[in-house]
Amino acid sequence: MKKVLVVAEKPFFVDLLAEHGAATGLFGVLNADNSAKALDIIESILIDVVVADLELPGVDGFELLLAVSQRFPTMPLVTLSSASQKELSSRVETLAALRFHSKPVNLESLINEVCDAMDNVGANQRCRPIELSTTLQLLEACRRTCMLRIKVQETPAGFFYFRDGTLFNAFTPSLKGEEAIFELLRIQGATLGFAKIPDRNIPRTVDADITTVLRRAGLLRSPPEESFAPGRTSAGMIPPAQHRTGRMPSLLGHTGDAQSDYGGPAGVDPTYAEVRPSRRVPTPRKSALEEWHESTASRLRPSSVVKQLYSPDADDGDELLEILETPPRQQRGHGPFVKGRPLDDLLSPELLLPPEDSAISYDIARGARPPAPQPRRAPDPRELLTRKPAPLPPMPPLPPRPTVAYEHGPLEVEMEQPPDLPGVDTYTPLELIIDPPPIELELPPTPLEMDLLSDDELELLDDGPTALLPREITGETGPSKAPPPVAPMPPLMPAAPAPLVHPFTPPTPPAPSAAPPPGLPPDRPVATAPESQVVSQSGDATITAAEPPNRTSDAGLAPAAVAVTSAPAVVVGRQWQIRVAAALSPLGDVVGLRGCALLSNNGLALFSTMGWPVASHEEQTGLATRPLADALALLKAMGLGNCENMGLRTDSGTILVMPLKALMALLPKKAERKAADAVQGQPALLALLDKGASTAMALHRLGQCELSLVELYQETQEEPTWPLLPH
Amino acid sequence: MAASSTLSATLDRLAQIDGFHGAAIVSADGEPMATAKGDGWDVEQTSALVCNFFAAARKLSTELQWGSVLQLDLAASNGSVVYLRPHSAAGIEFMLLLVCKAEASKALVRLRMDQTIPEIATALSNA
Repeated sequence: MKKVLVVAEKPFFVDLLAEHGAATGLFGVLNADNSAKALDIIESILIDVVVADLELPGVDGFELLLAVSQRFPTMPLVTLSSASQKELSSRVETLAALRFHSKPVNLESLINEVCDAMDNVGANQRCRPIELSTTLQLLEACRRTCMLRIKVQETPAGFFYFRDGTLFNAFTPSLKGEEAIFELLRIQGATLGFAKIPDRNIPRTVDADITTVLRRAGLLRSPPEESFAPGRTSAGMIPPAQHRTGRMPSLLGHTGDAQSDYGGPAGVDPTYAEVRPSRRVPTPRKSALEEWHESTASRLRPSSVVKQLYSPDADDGDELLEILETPPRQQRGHGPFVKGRPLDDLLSPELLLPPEDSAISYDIARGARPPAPQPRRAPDPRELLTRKPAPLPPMPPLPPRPTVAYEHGPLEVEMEQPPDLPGVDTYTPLELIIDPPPIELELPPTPLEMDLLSDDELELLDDGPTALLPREITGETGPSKAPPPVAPMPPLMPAAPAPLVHPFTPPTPPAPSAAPPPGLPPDRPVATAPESQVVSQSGDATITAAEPPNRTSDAGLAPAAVAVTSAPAVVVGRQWQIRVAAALSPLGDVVGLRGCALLSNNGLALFSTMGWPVASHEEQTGLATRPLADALALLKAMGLGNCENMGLRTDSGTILVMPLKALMALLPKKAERKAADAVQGQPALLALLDKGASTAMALHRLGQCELSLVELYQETQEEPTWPLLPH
Repeated sequence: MAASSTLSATLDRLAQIDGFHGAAIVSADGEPMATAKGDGWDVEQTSALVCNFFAAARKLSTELQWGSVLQLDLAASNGSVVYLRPHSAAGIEFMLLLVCKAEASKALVRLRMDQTIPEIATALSNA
């Protein structure tokens, strides 16, 4: 079933939407009341559609919109706002992943939007992050008061100040007003965010509205009487490919962008232009932005300017205040490098150095004398073919992707140009043939996948990705880790239907201690309670991770961490837990389920998804083994056979315990006897239900889970980590 | 003696439920107070096990912070269902054990137990 995440405060329509989704079987609904919770959920669960209220307090809704758009560009987003849907659709470029819905919410219309978004995802090739121009239009249409911050590679490049939807001010370290807007609109790969509005009056330096400014910048089509480009079709918008590149229609030969410095046609990615350098780009009329670039800063590369104007440790807020307080003339020379220097010096040739010379730039920033500028020469076309491309800005996290493996034979790759590249009508496929040695390609894990990997697995990855993860997530609590065995990479997503490329490799269990604790026979398994620690807590959801329980014999116990959350589908843990979670997924449909746990025969919760914030829940859920054993004894004494299931009806709900008899039947006789000797119990599933929840439904689902666990056991019984099988 | 006969009469009324297999009243410390039918049961052993089982269940519910136990249901592999309902009020504590076949209406069983518990409590308080 698909999942819809609604991000809104007190949304009255959530229940109705959930009822509709459940009745039709189309989708389930999750709810979050702020962007932080929403992002937590999106990063943990595969969400199909996000319905976000743009009018959350502050700029929460827009922050979510930008974050989702930049990190998950293909995720369909339905936005709710008081602005007219028609107005938004006509003013803002329609992206495949972005839809608008006006408030008050019309449920039927919203359901249609959600279903439409779910149906069309992936079919449209225009899914991409929301651009700056679109964001400006949205902020104006929704009448927000905010300070929009533009960053390039973590360095602030400028700010837009909106008051009640009116663009009041825009400024970069060197420019203000419309000039600053033009400068900021030219930046490629900028990161958008919001900054705190200073507690002082910010003067108005922009008189025109966003639409006018964007038209002047050449990003929006002029009204019909001013139109000059016959090829434009959609109302008010420039051709999509041109907008996607973010480049202005230019006559200048290059836009000042690093990727265009080779001297090829403006607006064409050199990756493709090198293959076909003779392509010509149509030359539209100059815009005001281009004229401004031509007259002043057309030689500047924005990222290099920003890099040199700011010291790496510059603080956002201080810079912002300093810029606002500095008179405009001095602002042109703001910053450690150009302070007090006239504008002509700012545009001196040393600023035109290629980005790979950034070390030289920082020497300049420290006051060192810059080297003599290298004279520019026309690039040799043969050199272009071997030239190393300029470094690109960091990519946003990608959604989970399947692993692709090629074992034998040459790898043939056919690269195609995007059909909507401006000025390029036809293309020739470029074929790369890589001959042996055999290549095995493995896509890099996403952050979620990295969370799901064990420490040992993470250490197998290049570049030490464990350094990027919090210690709580990776489960590292002590330095006494045995060196990991050299093992092939395990499958990343166990629930994926694709066949696994590598066999499951469990983490190495701790070495057994030599002597058992006093009072216990030598062969008796001794389990210490896992030490849990809270990883994150927001609202009702609490995620904790625990170290694997120690053991002194080979009577199998849980090999890895335990994940706890209020949402049964969310699992943070290691390989084995993920597979168990997949086996227990049928329980996700039970209305009123508060959590479930897999109990071992010796009274330990091997896996649980309990929602209440109890630190030692493993021990507590493990207590269910005792009444189950007593129930078995009672039924035997009464001559009624074995126990099928046990229900405890309390004034808070129901506790259901179902022994895994089918699983026990598969265990070898010797192991079964050993398990029975160790603790008089058997593995079981525990489900915690709210009052009013259907116990019949829960029992039905528990039965399905048992079958899945049996299948899992049959798949993994050869592995030494099956926790229910004493070896 | 009068109380014992009253309890037996009460359990006999429970026996009118379709699919009834047996019933017992067990004190809080595991002593049998009255039984009805229940062929093949060892009354002493069953009472002790019922008491033990209930104590473990109550501990589980307490540890899970899931409230106090109102009723315990056990589904047996031979198709029988064991219902165990504790009662504790005014210093009188006992457990009512009822065993029925799976086809017995759970709603009817619950209704009959609701009606029977006050009668047992009254009989014990009068004793």
